[in-house]
Amino acid sequence: MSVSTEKATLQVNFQKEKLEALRFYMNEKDLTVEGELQKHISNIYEKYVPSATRRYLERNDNEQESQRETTVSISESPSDATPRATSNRGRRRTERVQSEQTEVPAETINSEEIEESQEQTEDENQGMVMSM
Amino acid sequence: MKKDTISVSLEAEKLRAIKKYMEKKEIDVQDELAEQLQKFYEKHVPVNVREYIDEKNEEESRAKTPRKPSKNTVVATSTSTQQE
Repeated sequence: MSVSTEKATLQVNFQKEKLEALRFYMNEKDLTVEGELQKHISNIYEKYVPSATRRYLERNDNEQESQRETTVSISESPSDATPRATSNRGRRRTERVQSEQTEVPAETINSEEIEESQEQTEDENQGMVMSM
Repeated sequence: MKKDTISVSLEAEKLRAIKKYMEKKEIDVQDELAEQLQKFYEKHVPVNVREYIDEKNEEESRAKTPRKPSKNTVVATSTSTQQE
């Protein structure tokens, strides 16, 4: 779909010598008078034109952007490695959590076993003492 | 003073909208841009340079419109010569 955007030109008069000076000092900062005015016009546009009207006027731009996005996403689809990588990360994380969860009861079991064995040795020791 | 023109292009539809909504607030686009240019001038051009340009302009405008001596001044000079 080709959308024709009709262009209009705004002309502003300014004193020649002042404009020369302005161009000179703006050039030093890598700026252009036209570029800065263009920015100012877009500011004016956003300031005075209501957002609803702007959305309506920019409907063609948005269509073009969405078309661009779809073409970009289609071209990028073979290289879907990055989202998979993130999912793998997720898997790894879940595996870690699961292993931690499984390890925790093992530790508790071990400690219980140790306690039991300590009790047994104490009992044995007591038996030894009694026998002595 | 010689004038120069700066042209900026934008989408016709957007310009129409800007003009419409600015008219409602009784603001002229061209005046707004001229004001902005003056602000750019004051922002980017150093004070000394601005003063130099202003003085130069004043001198040029004086040179273009030479003052005609008025009758009073002539009388005053003539009287002073008589006193001497």
